[in-house]
Amino acid sequence: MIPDPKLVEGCIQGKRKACALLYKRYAAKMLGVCLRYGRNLAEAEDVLQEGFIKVFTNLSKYRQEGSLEGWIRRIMVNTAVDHYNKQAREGFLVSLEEMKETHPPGETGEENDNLPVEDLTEDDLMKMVQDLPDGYRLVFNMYAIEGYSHQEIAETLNISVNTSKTQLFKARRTLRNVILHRSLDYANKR
Amino acid sequence: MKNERDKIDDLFRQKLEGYQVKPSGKVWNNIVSRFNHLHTGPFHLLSIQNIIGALLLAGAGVTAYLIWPSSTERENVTGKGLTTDLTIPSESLHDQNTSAVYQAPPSTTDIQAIQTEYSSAKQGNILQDNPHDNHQRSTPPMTERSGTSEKVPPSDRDLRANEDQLTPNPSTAQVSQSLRRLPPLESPFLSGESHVAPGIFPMTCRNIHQDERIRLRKADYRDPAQFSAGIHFLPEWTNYRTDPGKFESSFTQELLASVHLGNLVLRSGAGISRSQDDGNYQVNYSKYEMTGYYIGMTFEGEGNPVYDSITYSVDEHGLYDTVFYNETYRTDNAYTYLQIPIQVGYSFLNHKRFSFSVVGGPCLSLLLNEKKSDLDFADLTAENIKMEDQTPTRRHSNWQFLTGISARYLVTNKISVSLEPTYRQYFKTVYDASESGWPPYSFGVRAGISFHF
Repeated sequence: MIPDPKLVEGCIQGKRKACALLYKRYAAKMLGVCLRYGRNLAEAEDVLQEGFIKVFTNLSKYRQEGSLEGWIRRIMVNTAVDHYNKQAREGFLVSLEEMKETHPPGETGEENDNLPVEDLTEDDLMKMVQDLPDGYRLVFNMYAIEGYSHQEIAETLNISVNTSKTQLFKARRTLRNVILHRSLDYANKR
Repeated sequence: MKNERDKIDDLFRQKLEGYQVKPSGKVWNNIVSRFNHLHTGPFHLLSIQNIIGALLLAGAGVTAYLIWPSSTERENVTGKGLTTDLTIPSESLHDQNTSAVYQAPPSTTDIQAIQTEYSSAKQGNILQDNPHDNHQRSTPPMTERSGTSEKVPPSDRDLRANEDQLTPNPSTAQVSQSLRRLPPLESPFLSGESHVAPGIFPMTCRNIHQDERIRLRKADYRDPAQFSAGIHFLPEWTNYRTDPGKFESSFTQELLASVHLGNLVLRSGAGISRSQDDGNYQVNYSKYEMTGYYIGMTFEGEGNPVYDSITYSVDEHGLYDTVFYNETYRTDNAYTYLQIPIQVGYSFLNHKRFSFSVVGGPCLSLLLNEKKSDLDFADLTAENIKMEDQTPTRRHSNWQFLTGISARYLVTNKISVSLEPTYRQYFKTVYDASESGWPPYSFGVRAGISFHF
């Protein structure tokens, strides 16, 4: 297996085979990332395509300080955010700031029950994330899975920290309700 | 509550962080086509292999130019043995009309006729003979320095005076008119005969510069190169190794130029190739259709309270359900390539007008255009149709080794026809680097007509 630095070197030199190998190595993982940010497979593949074009165009800027996978993942997330912002500008989505803050940060309103998560598969969870409203999905992914702080999310999305916290709260609540409903349906069918 | 929130985060992080889905082939295709469209980034055509190909082609052209003798050399070679007592100014030898006459050696009778004609012309003061012999004519004799017996070389003034003695010279037209009556003979190079002209011609072209005469003698012993160019047609059948028994057809039109050096042949040129290949579409759809049937039975009874007779009726009822389909469809795609072959050959059999040679060498293919057919999926009962183009992207350049055995027939001294069974072995698969597989091969027959210069 060709190590990442050699692949990067080959891509910078314009070797098409190196580019293809790099794509082959990371495409499936990155589509997994894009799927979490998109509403469906087609949208995710659009983001993946744009992301890899940015990767190949900017590979010379990669300083090989962190892992290549982390660098590519960050580009994919940024591309997904750009995609979201573009759609919001064009009026296809409701921007994050326009969403009403019904639950101020700090108030949870949650019940203290245990969630039945044993039967949930990866595909089930992916579907739940994809079904979240766009703003919720964006913040939840960035905070809960990518590990961004609220401050970083606020800067990236150009929103306030409070908005980020609110969106995260709503996303969690929505996911929790979906899991509970699913569990109840499952029990009733039995 | 804090714990529960973390639990949701952890649940999704653990399950989805390493989530992987293989993307469809169109994503990579789009990336490649985007870069090709922009002509920037890592996929532009100025790759190393294309540059090497262009350099090889340029090298072949320069080699052919260097090997092919210049027009002056050809004139000198064809003028071998033509000697006369006449003085012909050097300008006349370089004149196109005069030179054309020298392309065929004349017979002894012809020369005698010319000599007679020129003798009469001399008497009419059209031509004036040189007072010096042929060696002294171009170089005035050594003169004695005054008061001594020492010989000194002629001065520039002497040389100029010597040149003046040549006038009046015959005009180019006069010389040409006289010599044009020579009968044309078959070129010794096409016939393969000896280059020695028949008869003895007691003439020396005295005005020919010493260097030219040296070059003339060198050219006498040199096997002259032949240059030919022609149009060729090459139908081929290619196995792309995607289906072992399946061959796709292609057709190439080429303009090829050849240099023949004895038994050696150098050949290059360019051609346009059009080839066909399958496109693959993956189609997922669902249909609400009959998946089975059951037999329903009804009966009617007559009689009360006990039926006297019972009539049974049997009916067949269909069972319907949504059925999911996942099928592969093929379409016809067409690709246009620029082909640049660079071949070396050896002629192993020459018999009268026939010659047979084996040729081989690399061939560079550059993808110029691809025409993909859309899938015409016309099942009106299908629902939730998802079509995915899974046709692999083709490389934009490809190297092959092209070889063949050429049979050539010389129809006239200037025109030949050829037939050449060919075999082409690709160095890599024609599909993109992300695809793996054996490189394709093809068989074909190259037919062409060439003009010999």
